[in-house]
Amino acid sequence: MNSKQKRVVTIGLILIVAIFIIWLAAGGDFFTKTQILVEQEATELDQMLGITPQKEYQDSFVFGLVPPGLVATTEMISVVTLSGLIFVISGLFFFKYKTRKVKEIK
Amino acid sequence: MKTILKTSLIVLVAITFSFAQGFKVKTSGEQTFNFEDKKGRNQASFFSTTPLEDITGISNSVMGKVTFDVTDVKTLKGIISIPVASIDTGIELRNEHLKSDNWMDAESYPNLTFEIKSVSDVKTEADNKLTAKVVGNFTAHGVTKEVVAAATMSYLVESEQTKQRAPGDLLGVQASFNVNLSDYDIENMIIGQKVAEEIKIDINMVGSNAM
Repeated sequence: MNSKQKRVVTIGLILIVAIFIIWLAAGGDFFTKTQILVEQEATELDQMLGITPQKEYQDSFVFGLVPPGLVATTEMISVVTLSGLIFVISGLFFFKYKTRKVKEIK
Repeated sequence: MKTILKTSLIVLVAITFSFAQGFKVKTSGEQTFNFEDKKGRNQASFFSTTPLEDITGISNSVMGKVTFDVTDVKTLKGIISIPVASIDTGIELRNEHLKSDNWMDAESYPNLTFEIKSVSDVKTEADNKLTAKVVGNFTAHGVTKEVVAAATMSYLVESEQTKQRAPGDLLGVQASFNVNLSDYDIENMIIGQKVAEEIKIDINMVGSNAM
């Protein structure tokens, strides 16, 4: 492993660790969410009628470990997909620098 | 002889009233409450919890009618229905899965229904509020099973405040019960992993006797 390869591996690992830290700071949800359930405030009439306030889904992004499905681009943003992407890009650079080194020796 | 008849009649009436449990409000007699709300404020929620994920599905399209004698809630009869297609789980793909023939098969079985059979364990909380166990037939995915819902019912006689919601007297109902998906022939590989076998159903609805 040459110095460029070491730099690629180090940067890749730092980015993956950073993604995990961001995920934990965001609440550590298993699935990425693009909507969250919000409970509305109970009115006086709701209380008199003995019913609980209405809930509704509102647009809000929650960074999760894995995507819930393969539909919207935003739902694809997760620890696994981003880490996987960084792993693949790091791998490509790793082999790119390895090839160059072999050519230089020849 | 007349005295005996009078006494028997009084005793009979007293017994009847002692067993009849209902609301002590100005309105009396048999009333029909319609739960259709064009503003979508009546809501049913479906809750599944597993170690992997908690899922809440909500529907704002609760419909139905109930009829009962205001002074005797045990006379309650009626049907409540929820269109399967109206359930929102917060993820579009999951909504599509829910409607598919692998799950609820909304095309073949478009509605979930709860038909009230009887009411028991009536407890008066206030003159216009009581709790009860409502026994009914719950139908989902073409299968009907008897379930028992714990319900709280509140009766509000028409006032300026109630008119903000709907005309007429209002009946607020909060009910909940659990169902097992396997009881309704809903079988899928991810039940027990991402989706729980037991689903908690909560219904919050307000009906009016003037609609």
